[in-house]
Amino acid sequence: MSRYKCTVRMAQLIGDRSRQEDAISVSSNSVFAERGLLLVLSDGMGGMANGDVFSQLVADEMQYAFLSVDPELSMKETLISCFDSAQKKAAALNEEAEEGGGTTLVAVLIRKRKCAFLSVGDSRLALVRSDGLIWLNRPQVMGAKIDENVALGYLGKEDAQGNLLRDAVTMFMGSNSPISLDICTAPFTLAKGDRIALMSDGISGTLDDKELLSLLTAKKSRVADEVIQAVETKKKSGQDNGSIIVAVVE
Amino acid sequence: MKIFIGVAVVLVIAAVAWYVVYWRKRSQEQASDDATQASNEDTQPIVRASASNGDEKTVIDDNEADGDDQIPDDGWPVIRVGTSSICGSRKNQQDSLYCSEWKNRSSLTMRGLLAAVADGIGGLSNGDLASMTVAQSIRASFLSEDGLRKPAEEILYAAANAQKKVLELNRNGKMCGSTLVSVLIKKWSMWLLSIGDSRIALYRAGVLLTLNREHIMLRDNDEERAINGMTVPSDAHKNKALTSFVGKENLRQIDRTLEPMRLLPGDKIVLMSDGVFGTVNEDEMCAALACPPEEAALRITALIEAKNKPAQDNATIIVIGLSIA
Repeated sequence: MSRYKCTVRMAQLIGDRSRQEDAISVSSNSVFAERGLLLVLSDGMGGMANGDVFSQLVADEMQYAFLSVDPELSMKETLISCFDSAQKKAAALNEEAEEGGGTTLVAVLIRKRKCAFLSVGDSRLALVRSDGLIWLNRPQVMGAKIDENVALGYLGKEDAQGNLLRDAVTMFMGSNSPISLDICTAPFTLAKGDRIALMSDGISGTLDDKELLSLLTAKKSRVADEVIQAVETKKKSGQDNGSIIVAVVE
Repeated sequence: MKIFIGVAVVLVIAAVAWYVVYWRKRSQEQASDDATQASNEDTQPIVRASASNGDEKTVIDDNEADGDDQIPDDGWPVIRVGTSSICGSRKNQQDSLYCSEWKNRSSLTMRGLLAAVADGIGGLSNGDLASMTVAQSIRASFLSEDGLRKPAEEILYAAANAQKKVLELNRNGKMCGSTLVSVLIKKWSMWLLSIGDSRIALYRAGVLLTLNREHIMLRDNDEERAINGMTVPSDAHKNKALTSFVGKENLRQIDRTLEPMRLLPGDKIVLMSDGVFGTVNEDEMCAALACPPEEAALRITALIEAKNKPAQDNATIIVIGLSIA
């Protein structure tokens, strides 16, 4: 596959919330040849104030940084450099803001035939390859850590019982503690027909794997819209904001 | 008095000798219990291949030569496994591997398949002991499961058992550590767990996708920063140094999947120590992986040997292939 085309579709829904606190951004075609394609999704933490301000800030700053980083940097270094920039801004905003704030981040860089990714928080990244769905990133939630600490003997089983904390996000952009990134081990080779999907948990929390797989293999011009429509059709009570970016490799 | 001391010394020596013989015999028996042998002589449930290993090879094959004639419609894939392990240019083999039964269908469908590769840390002593301990504890944990645990927990507790056993070695004065990559496959679903810098990859659509995270220092760094879950200590200068491994005190960094990954017919899962992917590139790997698993594993190690790199590390690989029939 020497030449390939990458088509990007995106869509959002507000759900049952009063405002949209997800933010998505995609780099311009004009920088593709020199720098590649950067896809960013950011889910502002609704429990904290100004989730929308934070997510928008991060989604924008990632793209600004992308345009100014040294294009000779490796893919992982590029992602980390953009992350550093965005995190600096988000942490500064946190200092200024009256109430704390934060946001998740999923960033995907596509360059030549390779794809690299980075993630903070609990938004999701999926790869659809040969009609199979693969979740690429590791959502950073408390439940997983609790279970590990119990297995390793650091925590008693009784301490793990309470379910309240399990879904809490352990890392977020804007945090003033050191952030633990989830970053791919190595950029992976894209295959013809691959579909890469970034989505907030408003999507992955409502549609199951089977449904997502079937929707993500839909005709490319409709793929993002169809996912949003499927979520809306479910009419889930308390439906969170949902956002999706799909990159189709042909 | 002298006679008494002499007799005591003889008795002690005899007791030690008896114990060593007993231990060796017991570990050989344990190795044959699994009866997962492929017809390839180099394959064992726990392997530590080295030039001088000839006398430790116990190949007992309880499986029928070609497996079942008819594949029952039980929703399970047909699994084939290839393994290969070479020393490279190192003095001894510090990698170990484990793979549970795959030929015997009733064993497979009862427990699923658990495979693991462990790479002993060369910088610490006793790397071979560490990796062998990891492989053995994973195996012991797997065989003692009563089926009540969910798979994600099962693979986690197997790793926790390995951690416990290697810590015991450390506390008894044998400072050592090892990486671990492991996968648990039940029907068409897979869970993975990794600690350290070995790799798990998926071969599908003719390309390779690395599935796990590496616990290594990303780059030389003066500032404290946290990458992949750990804070880089300010005195850490060595690029690519391991930041998490089995045997580390207060181990916190474990990479694992919580949800099952759905595998497809034709998929191959590859577990390998860094001696493999440090030498063989993706194109070469994919060319080999187009072959059946047993052949693929051997081709890859043959390729490593052919490259004859001056500082070639131990290289160990497990290739697991899934198909419908």
